[in-house]
Amino acid sequence: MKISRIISVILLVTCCSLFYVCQQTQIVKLSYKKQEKLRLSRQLLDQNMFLRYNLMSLASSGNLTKHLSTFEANYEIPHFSQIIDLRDANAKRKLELTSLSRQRAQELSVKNRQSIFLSLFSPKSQAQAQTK
Amino acid sequence: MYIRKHHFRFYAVVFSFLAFLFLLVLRLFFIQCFRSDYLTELAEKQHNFYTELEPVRGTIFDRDLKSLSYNIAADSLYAVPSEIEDKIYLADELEAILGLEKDFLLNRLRRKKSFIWLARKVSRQQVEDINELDVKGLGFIRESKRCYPNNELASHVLGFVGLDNNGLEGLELKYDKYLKGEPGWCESIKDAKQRPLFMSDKFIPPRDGYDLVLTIDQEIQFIAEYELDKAYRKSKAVGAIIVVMNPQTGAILAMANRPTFDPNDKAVESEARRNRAITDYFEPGSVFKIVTASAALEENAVSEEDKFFCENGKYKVGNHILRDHKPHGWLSFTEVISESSNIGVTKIAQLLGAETVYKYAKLFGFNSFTGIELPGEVKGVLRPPKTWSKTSIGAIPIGQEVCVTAIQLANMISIIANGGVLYKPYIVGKIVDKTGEIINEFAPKKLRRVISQETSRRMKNILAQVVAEGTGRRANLANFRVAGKTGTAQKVENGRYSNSKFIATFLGFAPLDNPRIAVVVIVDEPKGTHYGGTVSAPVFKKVVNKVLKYLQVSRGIEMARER
Repeated sequence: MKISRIISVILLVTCCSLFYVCQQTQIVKLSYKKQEKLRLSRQLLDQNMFLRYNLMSLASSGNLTKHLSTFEANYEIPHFSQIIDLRDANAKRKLELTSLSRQRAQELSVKNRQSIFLSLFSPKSQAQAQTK
Repeated sequence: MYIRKHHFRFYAVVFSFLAFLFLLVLRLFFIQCFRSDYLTELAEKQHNFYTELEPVRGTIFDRDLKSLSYNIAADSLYAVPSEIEDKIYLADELEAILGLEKDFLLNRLRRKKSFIWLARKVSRQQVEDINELDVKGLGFIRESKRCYPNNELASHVLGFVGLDNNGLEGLELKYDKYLKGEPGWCESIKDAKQRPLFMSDKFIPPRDGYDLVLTIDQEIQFIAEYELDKAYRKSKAVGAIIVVMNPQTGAILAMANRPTFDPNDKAVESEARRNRAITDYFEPGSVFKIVTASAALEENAVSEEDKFFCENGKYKVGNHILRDHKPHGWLSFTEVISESSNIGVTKIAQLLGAETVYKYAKLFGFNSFTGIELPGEVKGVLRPPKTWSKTSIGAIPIGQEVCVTAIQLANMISIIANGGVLYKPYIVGKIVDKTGEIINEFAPKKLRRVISQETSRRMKNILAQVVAEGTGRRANLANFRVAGKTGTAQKVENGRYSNSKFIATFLGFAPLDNPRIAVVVIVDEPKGTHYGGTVSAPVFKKVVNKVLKYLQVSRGIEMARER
């Protein structure tokens, strides 16, 4: 009995230790994976950074002029009347269409109402009803 | 007997095992109780390490929040010399990739150190080429590199940084403590192969640098630099300066110099890096007559219709003969300024007296620092009247024997434009953190009233005449009324005024009724034609024309969006 008790205690301790070691191993494995993900995310962020910089550089007026300077491009600011704000124009157009469709719908509904009224009480319908 | 012998052996073995066990326990006890601290520390040194976390340097924006500076990641190459087997081969390969001298590389690779830098912040292409070599003992450390996407644009204002991202010039230097931030650090654990595993709880995040929002407008800066560059190249000048200011507030909208430099390129001559608008002073010539004329009107010493005899182009002052560029007879006060008669202005100055002229020159801000937030400003030269010679009354009022900077001239014309008030010129609008919260905001600062509004109005009309009918005709605009003044100053060479070296200046503002911009254009030693009215006035005209269109356009778009 004593021996079996000792053995069971030893087994229990061993299992707990193994469980703990397994846990630690998993944590270390996860940290390796995390490092790899961090490396990838950093790579992507760096690429994003470079692309943004390239965009800024290409959009720079000075750099554009340098590229165009091979043929004397005389840079002129347009007059205010020459500028059309497309973003606003689209929004305006949508608004117009919406209001147009609402107006149309209203007109149609009025017309429908009128036609129902007319169909019931117009002289023609009265005449048709009376003949039947 | 036999059994006794067995018992003896049995107990001997047990005893030896127990003794061994006892020694082990003793050893464990010794390690655990007496050596634990030392061994823990040793273990921590082996598998813990501290990393400094570099903060991101603050960005510099223009007033519309367009980036003028930017940070990108850059790898720096290091080597562990003891791990490199074939140093000569490596030096050969790196010479071709990095463009560094082979001797320099070999010298570094042969050092008896565990870590040496080979090249800092190399390009991505170079990193790829070096990785392809697959040499043991080389590695990269990621750092941050400061870049300027617009290259030369506003380079003198922005300045540049050194290898360790410390500001060395311009705003990068002046606001370095705001831009650089504070580094953080963290404790990390590494494995047996020295690969980092994870961070511990000990972590202090870095505080990123604050961002600067300038008063500079990138588009106005581009317009100013574009036109200045054309004039600089065409006239084959030694240097050129342009300053565009909002006269109502003192905000600098553009500031540029030629020669210029690209802050992305570290190997630049110091001559090109100088911000001449604030570091160089020069004799302004006829543009200084604005001070004399304003003083005369403010003191009610003259009126616009008063006549002055301009001695047909020759007038003796002390023992010096003063000449006009064109002989004149009788001119009204307005005509004296519009035709830029030296003799006429000298006579006005003689009416006022040296003390009054000096007093107004000081009021206009000459011989004082403007206080602009850029390093290296000089205050110019203006001698007090007690040190004036007999000829000084014929020199200082017309812009000789006095030295001014371009920014002081911009202040002067802004005073006339805004109704007579001197504002402190400023270039940084606000300082914000990464979340957009304002750390510090700089409002226009009124320093003092220099002349009355009435005097300012009268001066505006006179300066409008300069452009409409006087020496500044080439600055005339079709769509806006403009006011300005020309200046052509002889440079001093070997103690005498040169007949071949001039400084051509034009300064002015527009529109006349509600000035929105004041512009100063200075061309140093133009070849061929050298007058302010012919060299600098056309630059002023083109810049003002384009900038006002841009401001109207941008204002129009803003109004449309509000609608």
